[in-house]
Amino acid sequence: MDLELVLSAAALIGLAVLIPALMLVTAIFGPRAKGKIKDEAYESGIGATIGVVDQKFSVKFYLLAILFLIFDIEAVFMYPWAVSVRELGWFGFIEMVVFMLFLFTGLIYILQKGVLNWR
Amino acid sequence: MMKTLFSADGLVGLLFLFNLIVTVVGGIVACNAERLVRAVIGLVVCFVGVAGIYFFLNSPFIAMMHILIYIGAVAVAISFAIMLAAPEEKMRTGPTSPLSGPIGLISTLLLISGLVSLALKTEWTSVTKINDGSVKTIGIQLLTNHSMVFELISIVLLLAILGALVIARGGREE
Amino acid sequence: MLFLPELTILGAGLLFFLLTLGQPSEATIKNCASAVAAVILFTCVLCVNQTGNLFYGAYRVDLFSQIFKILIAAATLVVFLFGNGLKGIKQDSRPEYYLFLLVSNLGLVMLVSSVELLAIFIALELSSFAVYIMVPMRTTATGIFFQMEAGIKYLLFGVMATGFMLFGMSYIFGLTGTTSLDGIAEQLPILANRPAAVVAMLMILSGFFYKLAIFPFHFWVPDVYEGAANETTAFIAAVPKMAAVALLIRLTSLASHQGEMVLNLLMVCSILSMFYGNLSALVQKDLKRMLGFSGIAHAGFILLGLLTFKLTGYASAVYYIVGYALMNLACFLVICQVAAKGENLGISDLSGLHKRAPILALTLTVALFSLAGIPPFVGFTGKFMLLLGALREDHLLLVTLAAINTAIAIYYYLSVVRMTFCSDSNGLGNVQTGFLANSLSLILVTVIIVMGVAPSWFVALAESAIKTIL
Repeated sequence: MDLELVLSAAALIGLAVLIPALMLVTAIFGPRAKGKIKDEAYESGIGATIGVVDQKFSVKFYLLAILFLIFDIEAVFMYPWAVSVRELGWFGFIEMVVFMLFLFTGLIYILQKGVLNWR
Repeated sequence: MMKTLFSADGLVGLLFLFNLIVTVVGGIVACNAERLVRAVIGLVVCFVGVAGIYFFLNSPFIAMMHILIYIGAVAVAISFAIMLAAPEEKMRTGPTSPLSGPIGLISTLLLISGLVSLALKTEWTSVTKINDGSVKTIGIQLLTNHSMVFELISIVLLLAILGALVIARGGREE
Repeated sequence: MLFLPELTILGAGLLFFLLTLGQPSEATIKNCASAVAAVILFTCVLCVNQTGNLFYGAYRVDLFSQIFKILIAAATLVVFLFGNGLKGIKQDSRPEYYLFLLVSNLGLVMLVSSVELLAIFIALELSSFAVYIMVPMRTTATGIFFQMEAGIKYLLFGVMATGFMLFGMSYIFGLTGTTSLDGIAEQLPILANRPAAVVAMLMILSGFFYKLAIFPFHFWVPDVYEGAANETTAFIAAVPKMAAVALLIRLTSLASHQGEMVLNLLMVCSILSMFYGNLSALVQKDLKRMLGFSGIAHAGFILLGLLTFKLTGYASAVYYIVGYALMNLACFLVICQVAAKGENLGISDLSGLHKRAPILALTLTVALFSLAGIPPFVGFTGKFMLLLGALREDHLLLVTLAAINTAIAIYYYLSVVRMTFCSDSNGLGNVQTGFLANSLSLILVTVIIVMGVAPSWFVALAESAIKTIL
């Protein structure tokens, strides 16, 4: 038990120290070639886009992120139920169905209002 | 018993310290970054540290939940919000009082010292173990003793979906 | 049967959810809302004598909770009736608005029955989140654009107060090892002298101080009252405050063993709320803002009853909050009718109201007299009982300061009344009032007077209800 703990802790600390250390080492000692074209920021060949931030983002992306967040939370609540489903039996199953039904109505609303239509 | 750094406890302590540093550094970056996107990254780092602290507090489920929800989804939502609003890259706008810094510092220190002394001076009842804190126990508790909370959470989530759509839809129709 | 009111609200929510999916006409929405609110009130009255536990003891149905459910349902019915048409709300999201109102109602109804910390927390959040969403749903057609700002302020302050509450709950859980209020009530007297228990209790109370707008948690009041639509403000000003008082009674009865510290802090909060609210209300030009500040002052008065930690004190607090809700509903009924397009009303917009709409002017006058604490209305009787209760506990200074505040408050209430009666209409047109609004306002006036003249039956009812939880 102790040995396991020591080893895993050592491995975690090792990773946490090693990765930044290696990045630092390569940044300092790594070979580097400079040039006018090489120093340009990589923008898939389109040079003039840098610095133009006027374009507003569509709110749809944000809505998607929010919806993802909500269903993510739902998934988190399913996890403990899934682990203890045998102990809880049918009662737990019914509770979970009610839980899912509420979120399903949310999904109906989303679909009906056409939030997921991408035009 | 003298605890050395190379015992199990010592290493765990070191790891905990590392976690604390990650949390604090992330928090400082989040508060002081010049650009908002960097502040979000600082927040993510801070969240990782907090998840680690939950792990040390013997609740791996909360730690997992924290990583999944906060780092996986909340950070993404915040980034989208920043891109959506496209705010001017000026952090300090408007005149701020020269006193605001010191007052903030003093009140923070007061709050911290108050909470710390409260935690240290209270005789906490010797920890009675209520359950083992495993995901299985959490599942059973959540669906039996706290079943009302569980069902209400689904209504809260439904409300969140509807609310987000109702508020954002107004901006969409032009 | 125990759970019938809640199930009815859920069913009503489902009905409105279906309405949001279709394209219902204005009349359908309006009639559905009124009918649904009436049915909810009916089921609440039907279940008044139920007792029992649900959800593994987290949910308790007793006389106390059932009375508060009836009060909440009745106040909601009134809001639904006079807010019909929802002129201040965006046209395309009116069914959603009713849906959120019902969900908020569900949260409040479940809140007054919850006897377990987590259940209390989540029910409170359910009711708050719905209101947070309702605030920015105001239409921009009347040239008001700060509803989103009001919503954000409400949300941020609310989240902070909730954070305090949750932190306090974690302390309580750490000290007692249980989240059920019964278990906590058993253990708290043993823990009474530990500072962490006191701090935790205060932190939990702060979540409800926020709902009731008591001094250090009042920051949201003016902007939200002004920024939210008139109907929303009417709801915020009346309904959640009743639930907050119910929970404050449940929680302060736990804190009563904790001695001087809690008592002194509650006293300070009470005095500061009264002075802050009344002095700020003196200079307001906007009617809703003024009512908001006066709400802070009234919350201070309610605290006066709670900090006696006695049955009579609690009962008079319940009496007072019901009276306060009635007076506020009457005021907002007038506001909603006078503001034909759902705009904000300045106090000067009421000039000459006695010619433009006599019944509304009468209603407003009665409500304001009652708020100011002039006999024989419910506000006077409530204040009298609260002050008497505090005097019995020897809080002489507190009573003196409260009396001074009553005097300050009379000035700004009566200046509105003066505007209504003693000035010309300045070219403002007549106010169109329907039969429904007129009869509703007359009913409210009658109830305000009857409750003020004959308070004993209600106080006796409140006492017998509070006895079940002490």
